[in-house]
Parts: sequence; structure tokens; C-alpha cells
Amino acid sequence: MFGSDDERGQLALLDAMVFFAIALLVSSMLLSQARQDSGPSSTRGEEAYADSALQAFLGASIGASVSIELEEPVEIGPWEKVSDCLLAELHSLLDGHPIKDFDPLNTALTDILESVVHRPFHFSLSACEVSESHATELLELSNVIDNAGEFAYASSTIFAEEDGALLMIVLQLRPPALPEVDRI
Amino acid sequence: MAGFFEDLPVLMFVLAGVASLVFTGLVSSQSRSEDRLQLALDAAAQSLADDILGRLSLREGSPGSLPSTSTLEQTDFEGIIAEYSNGYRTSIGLARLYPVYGRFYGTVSADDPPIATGYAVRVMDATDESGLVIILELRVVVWK
Repeated sequence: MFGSDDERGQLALLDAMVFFAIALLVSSMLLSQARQDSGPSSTRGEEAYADSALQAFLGASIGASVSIELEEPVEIGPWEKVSDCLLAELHSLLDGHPIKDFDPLNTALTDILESVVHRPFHFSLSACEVSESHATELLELSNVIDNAGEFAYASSTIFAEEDGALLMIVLQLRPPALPEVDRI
Repeated sequence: MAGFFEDLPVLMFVLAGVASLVFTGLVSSQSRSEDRLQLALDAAAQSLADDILGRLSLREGSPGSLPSTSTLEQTDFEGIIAEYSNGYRTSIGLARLYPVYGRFYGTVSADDPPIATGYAVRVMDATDESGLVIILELRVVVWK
């Protein structure tokens, strides 16, 4: 039924070759899948770091004396909380004061963020007034450079003011792009 | 004998196919085992960091209170590490970030070389001797 011995032998060899080809195909698929799945995918640590960085920044003292020239000179002492100073600035901005009047304070706040957010991460702190329909950005403090990575870890907090305004502060942490990581 | 050598190519192809499947299974299981260990170490580091932050605020009398630098200096971090052994080695470090950068505290449970490590970082506020709220960084490294 299956012909001569030569034909049976050739069929057996063909079957073995087909088995070998299928085994190679399955092995390569499994190895490819294992390589894609490899590496922990949890970002819980980075998100918790962003949360703690924002809370620590807002709860810290300014640490240095800062002078601001508004209608009258304003002296901010080193024991003032960052959150209090930031909210006072946001209220002034909502009242129409130009942001350049707060350059000394914003420089001090940026210095604090530079100390808190360690390399190689870049930070972007933004503050905005939010309502039901839109958000108005009031302030941004950032050291993000052009080749910062796309993916960011973020944390936010909302302050409800007595006049009903909602002020949201968002801290974004961006990892560097790969070439900067290699240089570090 | 002649029949054996005639069947040899068939045997070679079958053995090669079986060997490739076995090799792939070994590599995949090894890779998944390493991933599970890494996730376990990361989770242990995150849990230990969160627990330390909670204990530091409780030592001041109420949850959410800021610890003082004197309280931190009196904290038994080595005792906390001993509670979290789980068969892992642990290192805890505290560094001042603002207003002045510097090392504050560090302890290591053992100096064995690591096979794999987990890492957790938290930033926290504390009050110094003058009442200023300073910023500290808590670093936890767990390894096996």
C-alpha cells in the first residue's frame, strides 16, 4: 500500500523534516513571546514616588527669604510653607497680577523641585484653576528639555478655596530619552 | 546495521526538533522565574518603604504628623529590617534633599552580593531643630 522500502524511507524522512520545521516554528514563537513578556511591568513604585515628591514639596518650608515687588514689597520668610506661598501666588495671578512679579518666588520653588526630583528625571509642575467646563493654566515650573521621554509619572492635588475656586496642582515626572540615559 | 544508518537522518531530525522544544521550555521558565523574583523584590521594597513612612508619623503621636530629625535619629531601623526579613537582605538610607543635600542615615542588613534587587524611593518632610520643614529622601533596597 505504501510502495517500496525506498518510498517508505523517503516518507519517513519527510515526516521527520516536517516535525523539525514545526518544532522550530513553535520554539521561535515561544521565545519571542517570552522576550516580549519579560521584565516587570508594574509602575506602582514610580507613581508612589511622584505622589510623595508632590506632597513633600508642598509641605516643605521655603527655606530662604524671598522678596516680591507687588503694590507693596512682600517679604516671604524661610519658615513659610510652599503650599501657602504657591496658593497666594495663584490668587494674585487670578486677580490679574503679571507672573513676572513672582519671578523670585518661582525661582525659589524651582530650586526646591530641582533638589527633590533627582536626575535623570525631569519635572513639570503646573497649576491651574479648574471648573466644570474647562481648566485655565496659571503657572508652570519646568526643567523639561527637548529630548525628555514621552512617558510621564504624574501626581496631582486639588485645593478648594473659600470662594469656591478649585486650584489643581500637577507634578509630572519625565524620564530622559535613551541617549541621555546612556550618557549618564 | 544498514537499516540503522538509513534511519539515522530521520532520528536526527526528530531529536533536533525535540531538543529545540525542550530548550525553549527551559529558557521560558527561567525567564518567568526571574520576573517573578524581581516583582516580589520590588513589592517588598515598596511595602517596607510605605510601612516606614507610616511608623515615622505615628511616632510623633498622630497619623500624618511630621517626624522630627531627633525622632529619626532615635528610630530603630535595624529592628524594622529584622521584622521584614522574608529571607531578603535590606538596606535603608535617609538623605537630606533640601535645603541642604547630605547623608542623614544608612543601615545594611548584610553585604552579600545580589542576584536580583528591588528598589523603592519616597520623599518625605521632617522638621529640623529650628522648626524648618526640610525634605528627606527614603531609599530602600531589597535584594536576594
